[in-house]
Amino acid sequence: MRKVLSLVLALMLALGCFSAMAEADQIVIGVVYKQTGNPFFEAAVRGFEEAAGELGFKIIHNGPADSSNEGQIQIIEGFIQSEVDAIAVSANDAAGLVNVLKKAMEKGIKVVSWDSAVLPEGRNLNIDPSVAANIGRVQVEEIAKQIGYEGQIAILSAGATMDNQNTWIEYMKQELAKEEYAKIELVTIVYGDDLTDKSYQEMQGLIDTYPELKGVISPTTVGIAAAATCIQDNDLTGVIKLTGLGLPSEMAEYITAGVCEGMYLWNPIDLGYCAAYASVGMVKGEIAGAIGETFEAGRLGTVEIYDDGNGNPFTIVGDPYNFTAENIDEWKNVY
Amino acid sequence: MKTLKKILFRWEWLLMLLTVAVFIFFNDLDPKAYTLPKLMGQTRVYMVDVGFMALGALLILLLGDIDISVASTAGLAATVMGITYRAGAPFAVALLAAVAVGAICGMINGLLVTGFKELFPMIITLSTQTIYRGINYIILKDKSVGGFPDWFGNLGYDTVRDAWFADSLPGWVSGSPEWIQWIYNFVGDIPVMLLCLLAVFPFFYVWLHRTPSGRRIFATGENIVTARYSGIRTDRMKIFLFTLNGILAAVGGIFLAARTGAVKYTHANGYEMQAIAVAVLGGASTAGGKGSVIGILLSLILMTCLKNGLNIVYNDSFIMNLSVGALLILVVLLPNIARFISDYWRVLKRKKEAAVKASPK
Repeated sequence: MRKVLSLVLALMLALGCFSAMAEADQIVIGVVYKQTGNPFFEAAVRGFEEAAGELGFKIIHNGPADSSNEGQIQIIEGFIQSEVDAIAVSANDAAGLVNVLKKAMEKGIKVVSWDSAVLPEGRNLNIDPSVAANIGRVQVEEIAKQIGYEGQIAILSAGATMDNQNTWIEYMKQELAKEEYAKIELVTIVYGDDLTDKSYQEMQGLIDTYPELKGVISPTTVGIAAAATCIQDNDLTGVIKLTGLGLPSEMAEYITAGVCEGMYLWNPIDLGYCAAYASVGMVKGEIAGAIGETFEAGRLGTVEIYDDGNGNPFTIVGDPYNFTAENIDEWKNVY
Repeated sequence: MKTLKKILFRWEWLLMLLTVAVFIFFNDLDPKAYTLPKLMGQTRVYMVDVGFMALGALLILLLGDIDISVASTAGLAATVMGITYRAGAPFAVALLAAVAVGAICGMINGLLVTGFKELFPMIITLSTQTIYRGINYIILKDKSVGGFPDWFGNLGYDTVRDAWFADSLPGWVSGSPEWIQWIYNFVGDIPVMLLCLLAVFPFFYVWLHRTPSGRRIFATGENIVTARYSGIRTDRMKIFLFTLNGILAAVGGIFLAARTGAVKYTHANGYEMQAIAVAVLGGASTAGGKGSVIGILLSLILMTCLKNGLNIVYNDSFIMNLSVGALLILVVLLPNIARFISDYWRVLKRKKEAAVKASPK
């Protein structure tokens, strides 16, 4: 018995050697993303790290293994316990993190949401990669161009409660109501929950249920990659067109193979980089996170804080970028 | 001698020993964040909602059954609470509605398990798990329901100090010796939620370990046929226990909602496995008839110490899940390993003795 116990302890001690301790007085920013193991968020963390190198602060980052709200709360509670100076979070559920983030703000921690917003009462500032209306619009334009402005299309989204996907889909519907898309019919929206296998099954379901299906929009990096694999497996390359938001590194082979002729994404590295500068600015007291303020965000230049239309401060990093067979080779090794 | 051995070799000692070891280990790694008061604050996250479900899991495991629908029950109960309150009912009514939903879901499980004895409870509750979650999705779709009263949101975060103590140290405390101040501060750090959980433990302890009706549950789990022959109405007992399990799940779901502040259809997803893991770590056997309420409490404390430590030191959810899984399998295997080693020694000893006897003078 004792032998086994001492073995356990020895093992845990060995694990312990890898963890680094924070130095006193250094600014620490806790980064929370939707799930671990997602390349998009790994790229965003690289942006945070780049800013950390320039400004000399420390980041700790974590996300739940199952992209759950409960898991994110657990992580945020841990950050509060570790007394971080700011929390930068991409929320799995906009409402579900409000209580815990309010507690964080009561303790003087600055809260920035990036990529996927928290409700305004649970944050100091929100950082959007781009304007939601544009993100919705460009994807509809792309799929319409690919299928020749005619036929059935479907949307393969992430989780049913994921706020940013839902907002983009609303804008897609608005865009589809325009006259030039009159011959395009949106048949259904399915949810792959940002899981590869589930997204694949949902895509297979679409293929089986709608034999006339011409195109699919997948506004999530996990969904679009799974959909591309599924289309390829079914030998439907060119029959069912695909666009959406995808990671260049994951989608490069499908773009080259013609499964996906074009897709969009903003730069997660810049997103993390900008969120880091905003967080540090607020911790140092250089900005309050109020509408109309500006701050210097390193290589991104001056960034302005706008009104989101409801009196809540937010800022934009840039516009979504179109990836095609022509430019994918330059980007596939970046992120 | 035998009773002494029985007391010394209690499972509970091992859990306590592990807890102390884990605490010292992480406290050494991160002395600033991993302190006793802060750890106690974190019991809200790792202990309370899972704790209620683990007590339920204990009841079912004692019977030799298993219920994997509790997380869906908890989610559905919290959802009903949300929509009842949103529909304009007083919050107390919403809470009652949630508990009622828990009871109904649990009773359905109980009726199915006793009605279809040829089916494994695992299969039955696997189906009700997806059914309850499905109903939850039909009610909420992709929306989440929230906007609960302020006191309910505070329940998820307040400590005794926030809730009842005065802002500054009262005169009788500041004038007292240091150890009284220490106790005052310690009590102040206890989360209100934790008190709610701890309040039900004495009840369960007395009921399960000290009353005839509690012992009947052990007897049923040990051997259901003998139990039935000795006059225990096992079906009725099972239905009752499954119902109670549903109620406990609902209570867990409510406390989780107090922390999240909003309920969506994935509420409490995955908690059934955590609850069963806690119960098994606490000494419950999936074969039935074995387990203790104290064991549940100690295993909850151990899980809190371990998970919180892993969370703040490594900041990696996968390491956390992996380590907890590894601990679980190790601890569950320990008695077997110990038995294996002692058997091996005995065989070796006998062989030696035989060799000595057989050797020529």
